[in-house]
Amino acid sequence: MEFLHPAALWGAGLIALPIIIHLITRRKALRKPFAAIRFVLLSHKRVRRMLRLKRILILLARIMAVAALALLIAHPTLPAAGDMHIGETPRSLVIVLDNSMSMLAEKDGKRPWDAAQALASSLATSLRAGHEAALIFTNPNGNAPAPSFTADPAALRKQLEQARPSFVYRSMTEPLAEAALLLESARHELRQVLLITDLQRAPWAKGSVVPPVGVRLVVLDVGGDVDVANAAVANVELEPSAGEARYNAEIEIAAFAPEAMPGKEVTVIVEEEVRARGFLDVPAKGRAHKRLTFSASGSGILRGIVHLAPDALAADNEHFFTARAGGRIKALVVDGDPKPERYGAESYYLMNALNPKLEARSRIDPTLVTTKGLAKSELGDYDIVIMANVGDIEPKLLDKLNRYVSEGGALLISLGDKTDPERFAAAYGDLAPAALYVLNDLPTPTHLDPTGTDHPSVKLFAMPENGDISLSAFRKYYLLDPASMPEGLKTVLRYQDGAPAMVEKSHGRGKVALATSTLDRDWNDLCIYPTYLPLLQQFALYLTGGMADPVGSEYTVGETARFTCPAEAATALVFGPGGAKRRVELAPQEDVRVGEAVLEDGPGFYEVFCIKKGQSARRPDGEPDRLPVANIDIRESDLGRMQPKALEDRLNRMGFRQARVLKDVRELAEEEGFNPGRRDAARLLFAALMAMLLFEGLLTRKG
Amino acid sequence: METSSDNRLLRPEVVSRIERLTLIARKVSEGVLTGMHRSIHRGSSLEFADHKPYSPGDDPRLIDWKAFAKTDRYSIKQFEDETNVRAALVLDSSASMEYGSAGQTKLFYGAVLLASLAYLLIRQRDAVGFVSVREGIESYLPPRGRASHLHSIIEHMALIEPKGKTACARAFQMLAERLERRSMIFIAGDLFDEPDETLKAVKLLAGRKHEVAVFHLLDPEELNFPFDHQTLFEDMEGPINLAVDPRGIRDEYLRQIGMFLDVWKRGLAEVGVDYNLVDISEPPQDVLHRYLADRGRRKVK
Repeated sequence: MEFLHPAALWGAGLIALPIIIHLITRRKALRKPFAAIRFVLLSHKRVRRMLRLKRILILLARIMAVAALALLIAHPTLPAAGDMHIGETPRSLVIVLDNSMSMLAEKDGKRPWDAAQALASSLATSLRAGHEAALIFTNPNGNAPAPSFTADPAALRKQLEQARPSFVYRSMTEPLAEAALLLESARHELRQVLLITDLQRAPWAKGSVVPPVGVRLVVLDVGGDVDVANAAVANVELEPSAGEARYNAEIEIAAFAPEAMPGKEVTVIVEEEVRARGFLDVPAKGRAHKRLTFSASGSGILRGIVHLAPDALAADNEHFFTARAGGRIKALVVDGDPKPERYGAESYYLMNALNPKLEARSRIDPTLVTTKGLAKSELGDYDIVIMANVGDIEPKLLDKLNRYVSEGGALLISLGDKTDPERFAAAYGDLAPAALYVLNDLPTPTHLDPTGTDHPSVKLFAMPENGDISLSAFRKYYLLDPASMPEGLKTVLRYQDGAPAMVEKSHGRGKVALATSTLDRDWNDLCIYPTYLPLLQQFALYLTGGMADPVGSEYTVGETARFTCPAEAATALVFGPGGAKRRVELAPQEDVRVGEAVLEDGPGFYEVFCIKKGQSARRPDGEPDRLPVANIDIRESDLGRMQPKALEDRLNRMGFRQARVLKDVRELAEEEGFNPGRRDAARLLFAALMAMLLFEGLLTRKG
Repeated sequence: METSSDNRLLRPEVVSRIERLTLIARKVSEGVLTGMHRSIHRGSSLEFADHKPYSPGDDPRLIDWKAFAKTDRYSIKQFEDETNVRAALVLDSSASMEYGSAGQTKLFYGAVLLASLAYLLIRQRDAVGFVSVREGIESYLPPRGRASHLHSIIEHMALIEPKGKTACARAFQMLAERLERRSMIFIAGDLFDEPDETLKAVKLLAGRKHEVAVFHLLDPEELNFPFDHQTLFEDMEGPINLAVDPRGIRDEYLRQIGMFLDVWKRGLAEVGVDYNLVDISEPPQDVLHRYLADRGRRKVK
């Protein structure tokens, strides 16, 4: 204990005062002849021990109160654990504060981040004229100003108060290089970099820094000695089911523990409701997979979280995702070649594949019409229109279809003997994904290429248990004119000879797909194989937006999300997971407007609202127009630590000669010229004084 | 030849004490009578003694008309007084009775109380005796019904110098032996004695058909222990001194004295003895009035 006014300690001699008063009052007892003395004697005999103890306690309380008062006037200070002040020697100090996610790992209820922040804050507070200091965060820290030297403690403290741990992964080389660059303009001869970190191994990738001459790097380890076991949700793959309103979630768990973690619980929470739960054994420093099926009931876009049982680091136990709710898909099937006999109709197999009714459950609800019926139909009532072997289309009908797709509808065109390759482009106009080149009538049937299953709608066929799409034989199909293929055209499936079997493109807010052969048995026998049903259902699901999330995509925290808004939107508002709002300017691109936002507010859902000109800039009601999702980079989940000696070697190789790794904050005072921090004990003493007086008052209240 | 008692009686303070005691006793008893409107005893028959010639001022109701018929003179019957009640007034005169915080000691208060009773009784022509007790019987005046006997009792009371220990048990046993006829016994004292022994002695008195009433005299300071400062308490009947902070023991003291009073109250109630706890800050006429009223109620029942 040290004192700001040690002379006041002489006042401690006043502790003799209560003793003297105690003795005097004892001696100055009033004499009182008393008749009922027998009861006084009896009472005294019974309570004298307690009275003696009470007297001693009162005396002690008074002595301590006087002592506390004297100490209070002397203004004591106590050594503060984890507290450090900048030394006397003028210096240029760059504090590099590790604000990576790993600093949030809890060990015995304590987080390295809290210790690091407190230490940096005490150093900042002790900053005075003659010193200069700068603060650099190892990871992006919101809108923190560019680092620069200052002698203003308040400015540094403000930065520290606003500092938040970052979920953006970054190598440690970058902030150290930044510190070295900053020190080139330092005023003082004594130049130090103090890196406060948990010594996590992951961010120490290879890299080099060229620090100015004389710069000393001190690394203070606030991470503790023990490697902490941690597991993280590494990835979640969603596979929608067209047959039923549900998703299969393929969950990958990464373990960073030296020992296996059996029975880890995994939960799928959708719209704040637990929809699936399971357990898995996670091997030591390995990966484990779990497949959970969950209901996609609800409406619109569902917000989901895969949650892993708690461990040292909470932030990586959650993986956010979005999924479209599994509602009914209404399909309008236009049969361009209707036949009186049931099996000869173009649409027979198609209708049964889209909804087998009694055979299996399906979300797709198909309605069959002829070309004439198409003209009478209200297309807005349908999610997808399938033109099966339809020949000519009247211009009026084409306009109707064009509008329908532009506004978000889906169109699937299949070819056949009614198709005239010359008139196809004219019939479908801009809607046609590509012009037809020539009918390829094969002497020997070809097959679908089973290796080309990258497209989301046919990804399921990559797994053999879902069927072999190469079994069906194609005798006829149209070749597409390569010159007419637009830039955004995607090939969904190919024949084994390399020609496209199915293509798709975006048109406005909708999608148009083209099957280059028939969807009945006329040119191929695909419809008699089991793969026909899932292929058509999944493709319909994809085209109607039920498969790939049309409003949200998944990113890693720190990445830039690119999103589109309708042409009439003037700007976009992006709300981060914590509710922070930012405005994003939109750039025109074709018939939409495109915006970009860096998802750096941490993991979670980022709500994007497209705002029209003149619309209020406040958060609109209802669901967002886009919902990108950001998840963490699990490289930060590996809490394995570097050995201090290995880190010193590594820093030496990086360019920092004589870098030191210190385990204890006191070593900063002993070896690096800092002063141990002290805590004002006056408040504590005042509390003690009040407690003593209260205690004395309670004891003397009844004697 | 003057006795030592006579010498003491000549001392001015004793004379003043006698006068004061007499005055107060009369005042108290008159106050009591005013409140009561009836005497505590009804005399039974009076024994005829002689005739005296009627003179103006005599009560015409006392004229003996038979004698007038025989002698043709107005004459009045004269009777010899006869007492049918004998009472013993017992006053504790131990040193502890010297204690008093409100301008009067317990002894003086007890003397006033008993003198007032004596006044009332003698006024009704009852025979009243007086006993002063400490470790035994200190002084004894046998019961007499004469008015002048009241003065003797008061003189005795005024001459008492409180000293010695309270040990009433032996005194009460001795009193029980002396009182041959059935008597009323009024005991006034602080009873700072061992209750077991003393209660036995009181039971002995009650067992011999005496009507016993106890006035347990206590000072308000003894009842409430209101002291605040460090105090050296000195025993009034012995050499014991004790320095103590009264606030520290007050609760225990009140508990102890409460238990002590309870022992007396229950012990005396068991043998049908009237027990009256008297705070000596209370006016004695109120105490007497309450006692007599209670007694009257009990008799009626």
